[in-house]
Amino acid sequence: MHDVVLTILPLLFGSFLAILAGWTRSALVYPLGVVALALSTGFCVKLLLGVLSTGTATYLLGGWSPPWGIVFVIDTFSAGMMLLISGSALLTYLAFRAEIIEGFAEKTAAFVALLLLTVAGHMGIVATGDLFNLYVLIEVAALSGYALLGYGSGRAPLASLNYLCVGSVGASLYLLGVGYLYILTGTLNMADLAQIMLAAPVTASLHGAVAVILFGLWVKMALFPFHGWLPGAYAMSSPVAAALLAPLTTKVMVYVVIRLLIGVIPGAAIPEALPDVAMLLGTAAIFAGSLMAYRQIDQRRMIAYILVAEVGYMVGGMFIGNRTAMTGAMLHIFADALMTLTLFLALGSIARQRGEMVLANMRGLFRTMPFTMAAFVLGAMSMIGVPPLFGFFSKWYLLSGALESGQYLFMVGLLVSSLVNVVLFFRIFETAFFDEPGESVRDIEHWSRVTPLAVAAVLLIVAGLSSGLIVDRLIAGIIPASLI
Amino acid sequence: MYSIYSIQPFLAVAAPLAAVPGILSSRSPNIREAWSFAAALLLLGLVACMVPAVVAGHTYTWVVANVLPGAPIAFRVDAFGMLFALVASSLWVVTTLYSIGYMRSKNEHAQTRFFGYFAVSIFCAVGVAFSANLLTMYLFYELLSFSTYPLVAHHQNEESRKAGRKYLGFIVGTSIGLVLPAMVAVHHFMGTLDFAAGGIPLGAIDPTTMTVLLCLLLFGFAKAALMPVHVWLPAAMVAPTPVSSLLHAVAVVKVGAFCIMRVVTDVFGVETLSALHLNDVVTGAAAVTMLAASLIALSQDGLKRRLAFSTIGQLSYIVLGAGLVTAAGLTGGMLHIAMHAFGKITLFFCAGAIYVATGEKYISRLNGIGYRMPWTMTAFLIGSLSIIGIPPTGGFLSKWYLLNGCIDTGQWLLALTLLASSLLNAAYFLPIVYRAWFCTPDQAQHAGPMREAPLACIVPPLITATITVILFFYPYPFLNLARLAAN
Amino acid sequence: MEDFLTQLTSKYNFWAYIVLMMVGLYAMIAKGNLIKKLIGLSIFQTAIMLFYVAIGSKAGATIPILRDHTLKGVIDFVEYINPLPHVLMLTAIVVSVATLGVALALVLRVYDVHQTLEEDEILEKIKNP
Repeated sequence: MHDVVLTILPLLFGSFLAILAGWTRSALVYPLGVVALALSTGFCVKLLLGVLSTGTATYLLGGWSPPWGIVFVIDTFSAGMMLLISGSALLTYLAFRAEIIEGFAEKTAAFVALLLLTVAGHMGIVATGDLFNLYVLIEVAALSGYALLGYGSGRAPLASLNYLCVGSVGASLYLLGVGYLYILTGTLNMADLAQIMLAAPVTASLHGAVAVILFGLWVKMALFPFHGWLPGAYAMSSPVAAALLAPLTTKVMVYVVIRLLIGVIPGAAIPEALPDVAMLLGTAAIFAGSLMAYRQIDQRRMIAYILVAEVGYMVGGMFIGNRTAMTGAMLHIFADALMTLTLFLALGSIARQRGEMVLANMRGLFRTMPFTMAAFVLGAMSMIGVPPLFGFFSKWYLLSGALESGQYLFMVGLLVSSLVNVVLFFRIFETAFFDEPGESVRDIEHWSRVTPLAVAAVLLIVAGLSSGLIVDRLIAGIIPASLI
Repeated sequence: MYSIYSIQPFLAVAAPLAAVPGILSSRSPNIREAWSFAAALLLLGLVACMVPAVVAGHTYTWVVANVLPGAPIAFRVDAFGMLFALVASSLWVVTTLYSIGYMRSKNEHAQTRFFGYFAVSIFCAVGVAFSANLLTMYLFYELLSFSTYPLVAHHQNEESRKAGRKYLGFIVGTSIGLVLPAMVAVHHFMGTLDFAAGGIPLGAIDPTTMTVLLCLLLFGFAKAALMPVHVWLPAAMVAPTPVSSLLHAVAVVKVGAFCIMRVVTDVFGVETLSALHLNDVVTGAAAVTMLAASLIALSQDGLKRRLAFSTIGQLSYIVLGAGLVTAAGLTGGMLHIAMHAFGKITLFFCAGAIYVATGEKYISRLNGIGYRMPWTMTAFLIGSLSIIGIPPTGGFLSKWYLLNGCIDTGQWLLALTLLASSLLNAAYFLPIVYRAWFCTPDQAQHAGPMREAPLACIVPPLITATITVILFFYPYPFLNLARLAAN
Repeated sequence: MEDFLTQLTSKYNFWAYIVLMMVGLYAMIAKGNLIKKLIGLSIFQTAIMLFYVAIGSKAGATIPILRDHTLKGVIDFVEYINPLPHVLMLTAIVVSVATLGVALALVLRVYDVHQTLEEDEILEKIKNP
């Protein structure tokens, strides 16, 4: 069977089997998820190695050849993304074993099924080479995501509903833009569309279509000022859903935009003012995200606002319009996903011991949970941008690209947000390091939670040290030569 | 003159780090300190092994990872790096002994944490010394900032927390806010961050941009404590004395001065700077800091605070040496890294010993202390002579070279500043010595018979004081390295 | 003005869906009741479906069932409407139904937690529990 199918199939099957198992043998549900995610991750590794050695892999869904049928196209960048998605989902799933089994009572099976489905959806988004199929997969990923996020207690359902409304509007706008492109070109296949658009006359409707598509995706990726849904959705939900989706959803949407910008929409089809608007919004996102993060009391919410700023990094990077900045934006997808994962896994473990994630509840954590905090420190340092952690290198490319194009305000934004991150994280460190944990605290650090977290944290260093390799092998070949 | 591709620099840098798991997992303090000693000696051995080849003019290189185009994470051991590494690693051995005495007799809490972060800090300092390019240097510089934070805030009370915040605010704020963009810009213009003797060729970057970049890097490396980014250093004196002595007299602050020296000689290049007269910016900043810091030091009553302001002044000697851009000036600046290190660490050791033995922190309460702690105060005297620059102490030599550098280029104003600063040094150190020995019995707050601090606190300052004197007569390892690097 | 009117009348189907979209968006933003918001969302999505249906149709053309081409020997594409947008909308309808389903499930949970579906009341309850 084709490698591309093998990466997604275990998830779909697993999802189906999890529901069946939920009816008959509920003890099997959790292991089923492990097997599905592990298989998927394994095949993603195989796919990545294959793509690295033999070049882009194409899979024709149902054997229909493009442009009529739906194709899955995997190049080195998307193969890396697929590994990132399945790998981070696997780590989250392993780390939160206790929450998944105990936290949802009889709904565990449904939760696992939804989790696998949303991972499959995200991987599909990355893999597909068809604009309409992309819409459907965005909705598949998002719908199961809304359901997962709604599982939390208290305000979670409302936050998730809010996310659903905003997200659906974003996706609908994307669909609308795709409709216009279809009128203009008569095709939905990305490669075919790219060919036709190169030759197509540049008209106002083409510009309009592109603008609507990008606008819709901006809403989906929580670019300022459409970020309102994100902090609520990630801070209120169960830690499992937050740790699963926070590293994935916005990053995959950024991936989609990058894919469209470098592979489908030619430069002429982008309205002239759009890059400026994007730069403005990206920079504003960085400032606003940092400022709002500073004002948060709940630490999960604080990191959610940092995510808003990080989206600004990537949007700015991809619209600066040179090769270096684009490399930075692409590299930052990986970096941001990994460090968000590390932080959310660590916070999840801490929250299980300490409850609400306010500063006062984080006293003495370095003493009681040293390994968890060590990983947290690595994640935070990466967010700040300390070499040799991964976050530094993507930030370097972004800074360098901004300098090349004279985007000084964006540079300032990047530096300011790094400095704000120092303040934000050292506020936590100070409390966790120097304050006494208190009498009643009985923190437990179990290896089954620490191991996945440690893997994520160590990956930050490993990926940082091999960022040269990642850029060379995964990213450089994907950016078209016309972008300099 | 050839380059040796060898893992040795990497091993040397990693040696202190190897002790950390041992330190953290040790069950008894003795085993823990044994680990510290073992790592310190191992580091010194590994560094010393490379001395002969480096003195002969060869370099060691080792690439860890190719992370950015034109800027790998890589090590290169040259004469200047070797000089600094030699100072830091030899003093770590002495300081370990001193720390044991100090921490145990003060019964400090969290000693394991203390020794652990101490080892990490040395790792970073040696990493800076052996960096092959600006990126690697920045990496270790940044790690050093974060790993010294727990040491600065060691006491965990409100005061030390505030100091910790100030420390991080200045050090990290400047490194991210100033150095990082400057580094990106240098990489953008030159395509590489490697240290090369020629530096940036004249005309590659326009003079205005060069000026901005120089200022960003000069003040960005805030560990060198040039005014106005010196504020963190006096605040950081709340740390336990071993930290103040090794880190805030040697490792950390010298890392800052080292970085500036590197930037001047190997990033911008001496010729380019002097052709654009940009070295005047460097010397100007250094001269102002030198005088202002010495003047402020006069008015400080806290012993460690006075030493801190003295350090600020002395650091700008090194920066001044960099800015003189003559062989004599550069030699003087580099040599001063070593000479000041041995002198100042002696003074800090003494301050700590006084605190351990009597609990006194203020100069005004040291009347007659010489009778009670004669050994300590003798060491103190030798240390202050070296800082002032009076023979027969090592400090004289580096000042001599610096003065020659000023006169060579006919910068009489700078030469006068140097002399004035030395006078001020005398003015703030000698009164302490005077108080200690020469006061009337009724003024004396301390008197005989001799009740010294524990042996582990006395021996290190005596060792370093002796070395200070020896360095006057036999400065060759350091002098040769400095001369080699300056040419 | 003349031009504008011809524009308006010649592309009335587009204007219709734009009006519908705005109605939907207005409801989502302005209405306080969660169910009304969801109705707005549905209207919004339906407007886009109508747009797709409109772009597939063609005056005087028929459904693309190629029964007669064997008789004539050629296929004249002018005689047939484009079926693809319509097929796509079948999928989109499924998606929107699923969205509504998830949304209503969430609304039920919201009601369980807060005992009301008015947004301002919920916010009030969160502020002063």
